[in-house]
Amino acid sequence: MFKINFSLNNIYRFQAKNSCLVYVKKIDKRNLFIDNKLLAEDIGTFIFDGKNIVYDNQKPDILIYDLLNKKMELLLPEYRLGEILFSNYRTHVGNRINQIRETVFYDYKERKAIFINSPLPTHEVNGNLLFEQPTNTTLKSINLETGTYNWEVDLSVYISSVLGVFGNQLWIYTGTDELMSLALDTGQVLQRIRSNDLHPAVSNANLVANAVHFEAIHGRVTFLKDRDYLEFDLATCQVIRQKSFDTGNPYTDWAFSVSSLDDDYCYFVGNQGRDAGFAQWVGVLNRKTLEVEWSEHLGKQNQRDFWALTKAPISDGNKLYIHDSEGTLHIFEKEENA
Amino acid sequence: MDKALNINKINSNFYSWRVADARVVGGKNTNNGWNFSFQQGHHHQLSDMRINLNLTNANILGIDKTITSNTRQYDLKLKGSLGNGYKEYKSYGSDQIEDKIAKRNWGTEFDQFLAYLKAPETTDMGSPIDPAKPTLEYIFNVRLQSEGNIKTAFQNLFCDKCNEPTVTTKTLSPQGVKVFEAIWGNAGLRSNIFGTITIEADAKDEFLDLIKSTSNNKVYGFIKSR
Repeated sequence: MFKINFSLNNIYRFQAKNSCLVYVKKIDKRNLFIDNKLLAEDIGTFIFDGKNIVYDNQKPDILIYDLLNKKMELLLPEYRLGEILFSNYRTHVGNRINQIRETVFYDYKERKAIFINSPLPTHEVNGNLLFEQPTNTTLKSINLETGTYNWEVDLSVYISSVLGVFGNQLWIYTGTDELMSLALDTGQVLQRIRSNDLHPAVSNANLVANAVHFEAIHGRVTFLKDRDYLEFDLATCQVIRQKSFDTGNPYTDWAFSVSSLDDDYCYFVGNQGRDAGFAQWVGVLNRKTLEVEWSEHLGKQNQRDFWALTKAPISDGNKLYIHDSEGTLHIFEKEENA
Repeated sequence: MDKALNINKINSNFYSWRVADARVVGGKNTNNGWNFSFQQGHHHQLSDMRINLNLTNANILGIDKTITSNTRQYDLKLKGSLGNGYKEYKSYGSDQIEDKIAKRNWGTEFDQFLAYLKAPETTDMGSPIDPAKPTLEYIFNVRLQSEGNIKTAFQNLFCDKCNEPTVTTKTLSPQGVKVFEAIWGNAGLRSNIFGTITIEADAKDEFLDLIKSTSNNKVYGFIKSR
């Protein structure tokens, strides 16, 4: 299905969108590349929305590069860039004046600050911002138009992950392994689904980021964790598909670590057989047949002891990107006859 | 229903793995006798699993997974009601703690530490969302060294001058920078330690503040001595 095309070493961060690969190569300094061409030297970090690359340098200044027009501009002098990109071209930026830290929630398309030194939003949902309190049990929603709080709710349980919006409800996953929905306009808790009721496979799973996937368009939550695949329909509260990869034969079982998905496939890192520890395999699971259609062992016998695949594979166009713990980016290309 | 941990079976398998491991990894050190140190480590891990963790078969995802491929990995990985955390057992005497950790000469075991921090399953270094489900613990042998001394050694690994109260300029050591970058690259761990901070330079300052006190469980709580 895929064959290795090439690999790049010393990659610190990367993003791939719209068939464009943007990465930071770190040897002594961090240098920024687009499709293997050097764009800037000695940068801090970058974000890439598919059209623009925003990055900061050591001055620090924030710059923006327009990919289509190949145009570079100074965006904000004396600011550092945060790494989270919200929808609609928004991010955190910050600077320091006389040791005092100032943090700004900034819209880089409209080039204006939205909030200065407020608690920083953690999610943007339907044009409203959500804040998680430091205790991580409280969620607040603020209206971007008016700047006023819509609601604030203390859930009394830790918020493990804010998943997204489906059916006018905000879905979250809690530290106590519950799937919970809140009314978008009031924050009132509408549904609480204990993972035990969903399926034993997801209970007590200590879910990690990129092992639970939310598909707003289909109203589905998909878990791929340890030895189980499970797809849950939010509208009907029913399990649609599930499969255990615990075959009873410890040499053929799959153990999944983290993954990404599209409509047809899950792209995962994990392990097969006895090596249930640090992931060394990459694979593709067909979501219709629930079969692992392709897999490859990337670990090598003489590799350094603690090498592992720690990040979810990224699929973009006909390429699959896998970033390993030593900083090598493995780039696979789809085989044409597949 | 879960069966109680079949300690004899685990012991037998575990011991044969350990001995195989010892022959491959530690066999060269015959003068000092690998048997003793491996037996000591083996006893430390087994007694912790049996007495402190009170494990059943349902809680064990894996133990020393690596003999077949001859690369050492984790000691113990849990599943089920105790969470899916990693446990790493170290039977270090005070000399080893001083020489390896405090003097920053930890070799491949430092790489192992970084690998744990980069693993997506690791989402805390001592303050897990659910206190019953720590995702990473380094368990040292309490008979050989106290927790406080080990935390001070780790502080020395992470930081220049942190344990010298009269020195005001404290900076991350080269190892501390690698630890910070491993945390920063792991989304779950990053959010546990740095919350909503998304600017790397701010997080680095925060990390330096956090490691200044060895009583800070957010960054030192994963170190246990029992």
